[in-house]
Amino acid sequence: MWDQCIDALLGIWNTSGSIPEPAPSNATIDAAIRILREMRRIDPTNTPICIVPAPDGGIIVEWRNDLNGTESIQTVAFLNDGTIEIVTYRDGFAESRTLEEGFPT
Amino acid sequence: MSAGEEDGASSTKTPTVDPDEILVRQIKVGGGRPLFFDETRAAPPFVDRSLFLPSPNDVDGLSLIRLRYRSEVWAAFRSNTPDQRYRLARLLPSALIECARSVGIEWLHFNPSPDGLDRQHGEPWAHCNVQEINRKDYENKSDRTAKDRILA
Repeated sequence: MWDQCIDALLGIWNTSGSIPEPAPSNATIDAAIRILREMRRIDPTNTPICIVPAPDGGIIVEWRNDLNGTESIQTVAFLNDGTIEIVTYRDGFAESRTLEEGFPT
Repeated sequence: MSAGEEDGASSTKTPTVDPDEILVRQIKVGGGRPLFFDETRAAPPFVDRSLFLPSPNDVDGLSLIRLRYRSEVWAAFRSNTPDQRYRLARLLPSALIECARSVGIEWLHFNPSPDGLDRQHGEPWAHCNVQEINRKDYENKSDRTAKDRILA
């Protein structure tokens, strides 16, 4: 499943015509792929459930887990301005949010 | 009380938004469509929550259209992009207000404001903005989390 996630990111070049503008930038796609590869190395069983284009340019990767009967959703948004935003939702409400300025090199 | 009343007097003759009237959010065709979705674990979403974040056009607040004053066919149209048609996501002001309260925001103001079609046809305006869910606050990192919570 990890390979399908990374293929979907690589495939943006072929499907960019169907993604509403602004499409994810080269740097954004590159950062998302590098970080997903690193996450796969750390925990191969924890695959994302969903990848969507961010409305203002970027990529949002989503994980869902069941925690004691409540749904926990974690999203990592790679935005074209170089920001990475990590938000954890519990039962539909944001529980925590972290913002990283600048993609890791 | 209506969903825009707490602000006091308004310069528009457009009636205030009723908490139980239907509003719609325009969604670009293709917007929120997953690039990848693991259908073995859940049903694919009809629309992604990211489409309800304030866009750069939502400077004065999240842009919504009142079906009380505009048909769904015209609600799917924008005069500045006449060749495009938008999908519509239905929302109830009362549900949004309830959600806002649960995270400590006491009230949402649904301010009538004209879009291109309203300027052509006059009042009552169908377009309105949710004042508290605006791009400026969203980009202001100290205030952004609360807005995220509402929109989640």
